[in-house]
Amino acid sequence: MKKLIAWVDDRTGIKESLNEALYENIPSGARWRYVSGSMLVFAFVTQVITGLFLWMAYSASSQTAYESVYFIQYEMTGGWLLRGVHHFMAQAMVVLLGVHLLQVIVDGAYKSPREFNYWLGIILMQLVLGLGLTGYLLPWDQKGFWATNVATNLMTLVPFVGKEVQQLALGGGEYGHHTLTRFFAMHAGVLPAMLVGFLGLHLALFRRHGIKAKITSGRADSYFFPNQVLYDGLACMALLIVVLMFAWRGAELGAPADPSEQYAAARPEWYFLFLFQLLKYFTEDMGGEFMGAIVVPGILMTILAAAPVIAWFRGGHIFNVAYVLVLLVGAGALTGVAMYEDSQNADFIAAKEQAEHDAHRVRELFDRRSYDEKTGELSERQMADARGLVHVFRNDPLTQGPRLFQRHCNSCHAYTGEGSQWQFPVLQDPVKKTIAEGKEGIEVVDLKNGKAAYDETPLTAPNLYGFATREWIAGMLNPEEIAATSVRAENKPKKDSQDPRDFRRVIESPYFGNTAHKDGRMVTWVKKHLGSKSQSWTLADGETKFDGQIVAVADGDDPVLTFKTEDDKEKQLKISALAETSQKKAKKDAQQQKDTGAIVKALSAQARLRNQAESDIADQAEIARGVQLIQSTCAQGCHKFGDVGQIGLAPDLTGYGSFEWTMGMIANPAHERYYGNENDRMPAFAAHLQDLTQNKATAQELALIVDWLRGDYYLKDDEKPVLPHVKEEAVLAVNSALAEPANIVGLAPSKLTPELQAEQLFAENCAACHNHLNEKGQGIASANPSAPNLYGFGSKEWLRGLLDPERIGTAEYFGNTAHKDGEMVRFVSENLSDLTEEQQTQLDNIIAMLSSRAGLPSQTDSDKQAGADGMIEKGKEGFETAFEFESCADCHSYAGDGVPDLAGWGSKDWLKEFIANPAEDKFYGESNDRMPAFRNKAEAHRNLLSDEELDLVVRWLRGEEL
Amino acid sequence: MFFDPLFRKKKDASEFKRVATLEQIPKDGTPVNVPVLADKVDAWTVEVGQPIGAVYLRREGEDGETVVCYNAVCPHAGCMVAYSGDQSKFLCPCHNSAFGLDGEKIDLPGKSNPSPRPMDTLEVDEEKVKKDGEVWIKFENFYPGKHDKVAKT
Repeated sequence: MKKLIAWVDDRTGIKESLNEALYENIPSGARWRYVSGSMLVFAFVTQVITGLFLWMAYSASSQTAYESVYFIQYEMTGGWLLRGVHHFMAQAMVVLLGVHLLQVIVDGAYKSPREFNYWLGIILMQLVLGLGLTGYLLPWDQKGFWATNVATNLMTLVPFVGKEVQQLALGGGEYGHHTLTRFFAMHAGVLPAMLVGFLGLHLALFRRHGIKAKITSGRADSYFFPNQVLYDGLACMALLIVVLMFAWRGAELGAPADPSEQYAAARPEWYFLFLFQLLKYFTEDMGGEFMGAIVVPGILMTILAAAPVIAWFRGGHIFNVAYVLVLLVGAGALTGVAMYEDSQNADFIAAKEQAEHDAHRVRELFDRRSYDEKTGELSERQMADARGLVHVFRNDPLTQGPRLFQRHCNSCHAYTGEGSQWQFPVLQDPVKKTIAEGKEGIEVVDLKNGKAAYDETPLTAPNLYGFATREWIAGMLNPEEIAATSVRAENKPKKDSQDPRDFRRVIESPYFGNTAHKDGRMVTWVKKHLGSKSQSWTLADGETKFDGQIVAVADGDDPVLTFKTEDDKEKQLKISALAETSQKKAKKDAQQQKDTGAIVKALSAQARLRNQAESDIADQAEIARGVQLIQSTCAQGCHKFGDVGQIGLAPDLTGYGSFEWTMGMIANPAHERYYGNENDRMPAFAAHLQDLTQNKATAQELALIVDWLRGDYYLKDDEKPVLPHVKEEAVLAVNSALAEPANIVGLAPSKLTPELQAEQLFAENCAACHNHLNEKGQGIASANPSAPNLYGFGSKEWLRGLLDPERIGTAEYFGNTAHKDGEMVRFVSENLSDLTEEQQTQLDNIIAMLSSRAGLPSQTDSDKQAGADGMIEKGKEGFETAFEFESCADCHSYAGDGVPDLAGWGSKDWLKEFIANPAEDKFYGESNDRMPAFRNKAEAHRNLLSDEELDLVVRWLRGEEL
Repeated sequence: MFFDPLFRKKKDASEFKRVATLEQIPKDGTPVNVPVLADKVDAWTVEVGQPIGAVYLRREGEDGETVVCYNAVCPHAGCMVAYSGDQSKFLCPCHNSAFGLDGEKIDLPGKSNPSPRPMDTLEVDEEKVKKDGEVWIKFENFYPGKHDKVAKT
C-alpha cells in the first residue's frame, strides 16, 4: 500500500498538495464560526452531483420538461429524493450566502488586502442567485412559469438593450422550447462553469491571504487538519441532514405550465419575495417599476459591493456592518409583509388551494386507466401523451368542465344542487349608477322607493345539475316544477347599504319557468295530463279520505266501502258516490304515477349515465314498459322516439341526454332534431360543420362540458373508471347529431317547384299525424297516422266521409284522436244513420253549403251549380234546423264561439288561422287534441312555420295553383 | 446562433381576429374573458388553434352596441388580470394593480397601484360588430412596466 502511494506521489506530488491543503495555519485555532465557506462549497458540490443526475433524466422542451420532471419526482426510484435534495440545497445555499456575507462583513474579512476576494464573493453571490432564478423555470410548472415570466418581463426595463436581452434570454418573443433550452444551458452549463472559475479564484485568494482569524490571546494556533476539518465535516453533515429532512417532504411540483391559463398564485421563490414586495410600492410617481426593479436594487447592490472602499474611511466599517444588517432585516421584513399580505388575501389563498388541487389532479390523471367491459380489466396507465401532460390536463372534464360551463353557460343555466361541490347560480345585479362627483368611480344601487331597481329579469334556462338523471326528468314532468320560477335575494342588505353586491339576487327556475317554453306545448301538456286532478281526496295505506275524513278502506286493488260515519242515509249515499269516484280517480292517478315513473326511468335510461348504470339494468322491465309508453304518448304528434314519431315539432327523444344527443343540442339547438324554430335564444355553439372557425366553441370544449355534466371523467376511486371523450369523438358526435347530407361540388343550387316545396312542408310538419292520400292510396303517407286524412279537405267528398257514421270513427277521420269519443262522432252516429230520402237531401244541401265556404278551385263549377239549384240556401237552413233532436248549429257557429267556428270553413284564411293556432277558443279550444300551434308566437321567427310556408301549404292543400 | 432570436422575422399582428360574438357579452356592461386562438408556433412545433392570450370584452354605450377590448395582461409586470364580479374591478393577483371597468387605474384601499398605465386597449372592428354582431380584434401584446404602450413585435 505504502509502495503504491509512493508510486502515485512520485508522479503527482499529491502528498505535498494535501499537506498544503490540510496543514494551513489557523491563528488562535479552529473555530465553528469558520465553517460557512466550507458549507457553501459542500452545498455547491452537492448541487453539481445531484444536478448531473437530474440532467440524466431531464428533457428541455415545452412538451417534455414538465413530464420529465414529473417522472423524476413520482416515477423514478429515489427521484423524489434527488430532486428534493437539489431543490432544498439550493435554498440552503441562499441562506448560507447571507450568513457568509454577514460574517465576512462583521469580521472585517472584506477589508484590505482582501478587497478582490470580497468582490469575487459578490460575483459568486450573483451567480448563485442566477442559478436559483434559472432553475425555478426548468420544471415548467405553473408556478415557475408565471413567476419567471415576471422576472423576464422586468428585463425589458433595462435601458437601451432591455428588450433585446429579454429576447435573447427567451430565445424569441414568447416562452417556448428555446426558453427552456436557453435557461437550461445557463443553469447547467454557463453559470456553474463561471461559478467554478470564480470559486477557484476565490479560494486561491483566500489561501493567499490566509484566514481572517479572530485572535484570542492564549488560544493556540492550529492547523486546518484535523480540528477545523472535523468542524467543517460536522457542519456539512448537519446541513445535509437538515436538507434531507426538508427533502423528505418532497419538492413541490405544480400543474404543468399553461400560458393561456390564468395563474393567480404566482410568486417567486421565497428568497426573491422581498424584491417582489418592493415592486408593489413603486408607483408611477415614484419612478415606477424601473425604479423598483432596477434602480433601487442596483444602488443597494453597488453600495454593498463598495464596502471595501467605504471601509477606507473612518467609521466605514461600522457603516458597512450597519448597512448589511439593515439590508438583511429590511429584506426579511419585506418578505414578512409579502407573506402576511398573501395570508390575508382570500383570492390568493383560493388560488393557491386551486393550484394545489390542480397539481393533485394532474397526478391522478397521469395514472388514469379505463375499464374494459369485455375483458373486465383495467387498462394500462395512460400517463402523458406526446403532446404533454398539459394537454391531458386541459382536456380533463372534471377540471375544465366547470370553468367552461361558467364561461359559456352560466349566464342562463344554473348548476346548483345539494351536495354538489360546484354551485353556479344565475345571478342578477341591481341597476347601478356611478357617482361621478366627489367619490369618483364608486358604484351605488339605484334605489327606487327604498328598493333596488332591476332591469328585466334575465333569461334563465334549466338548472343542469343532474341533467337527464331520473330526478331531473321527474322534476321536468312535475307540473309544480316545470314552469316554476322564483327570485330570491342573496344577501340581506345592511341598513342604508348602497353596495350593489348586497342587492344581488338569484334567479331560480329549475326548468322552463323563465323561458318562452313556459307557455309552450310541453308545459301545457304536463300541467294538463300530469297535474293533480282532485284536491279533495287522498289515498294512503288503503284508506280513502274525503275532505279529511276517512270514508273508505280499500282492500288491495278492490275498494271495500266501509263507512266510518253513521250519518243519515242521504249523506251516506252522497259520500258513497263521492268515495267511489275518488277511488276510481285514485286508482287512475296511481296508475298514471306508475306510468310517469316508467317514462322517467325509460327516458333517463336513454342517457346511459354511468352513475345510473346499475339501476338501469335493475329496472329493465319497467324501462321497457316506459319505452312503450313514450312511444304511445310522447311520440304521438310531438317528439320522435326511435322509429316512432317525426322530428321537427319537438326535440327528438332518441338518445336523449346521451353524449351524442347533448353534444348536438349544444352545438345547434335550433337544428330540426332539437328545438328548431322554437329554440328560445339558446345560442348555437358549434353549428358550422364546414367552417369551424365560425363556431363559438370547439367540439372538444363542448365535450368537456358534456362529459363533466354527465360524469364521464376519470376518477381514481371508480371501480370501473372511464376516460373522457377525445377530440375525434367530440367532432364525430356533433357531426352525427347534426348530420348534413353530403354536398355535391359544383351542383347548381336546387330549385324546388312550389308543389315539391309544399309536399316537403307537409311531410315535415303535418305527416307526423296526418295522411294525404287519395282514394287509390297515393300521396304522402304518415308512418303513424293519428289525425284525419287531409286529401281533398273541404271538398264535398271529404265532408261526405266525415258525416258518414261508418267512416267518421275510423282512422281516416277521428279514429285515432280524442275526438273519437267526442260530441261530433256521437252526433253523426246518432243522427245520420239510416237517413230517409228527405234527410239525405238535407244532408247533401248542408254539405254543398259547407263545401262552398271552402271555395276550392276544383269545385268552382259545382259550387256555382249548387248556388243556382238553391242547395246552398237550403243548406244554411238545414244547418240550423235539420235532424230530429239536434242540429249543427247547436255546437258550431259562424260567430266565433262555436267548436270549431265554421265561418269560412276550409277557406284559405280559415285554414291559415286554424293551423296557426287550433287551440284558440273559436276553434278547438281546450279540447284540441295534440295539434301544435304552428304560428302563434309574437316573435315571428320562432314559429314552426313562416307565413310564406303556411300560405304555401294551405294553398297546396286546397289544390290552388301554386 | 445565439443572437438568432434578434434576427427572426417578426410576426405581423395587424390582422383582425374573430374572438367572440356580440351576444356572448353581457348587456349590463359586465366584462367577459375570452381566449384568443391562433396557430401557436414554438420553434419547431406548430399547434393549430391554441390560446395565445386572453382579452376582456365589455359592452359600452347607451345601446350597448359598442365593444371595448382590453388585453388581459397586466401592464405592470405581465401577470394575468382577474375580473372580480364582486367588486366590479379588474384585480391583478401579483402586485396590487387594480383597474375600473373603464380600464383606468384605481387604488385599492390602503394599497398603492404600481401599474404605469391603464389596461391596454385593443382595436375592435366596429363595423363587424354593427353589421354581423361579431367581435374582431387586433390582438397585440405590449411591454409591461412602461408608461407608454409599446407593442411587442
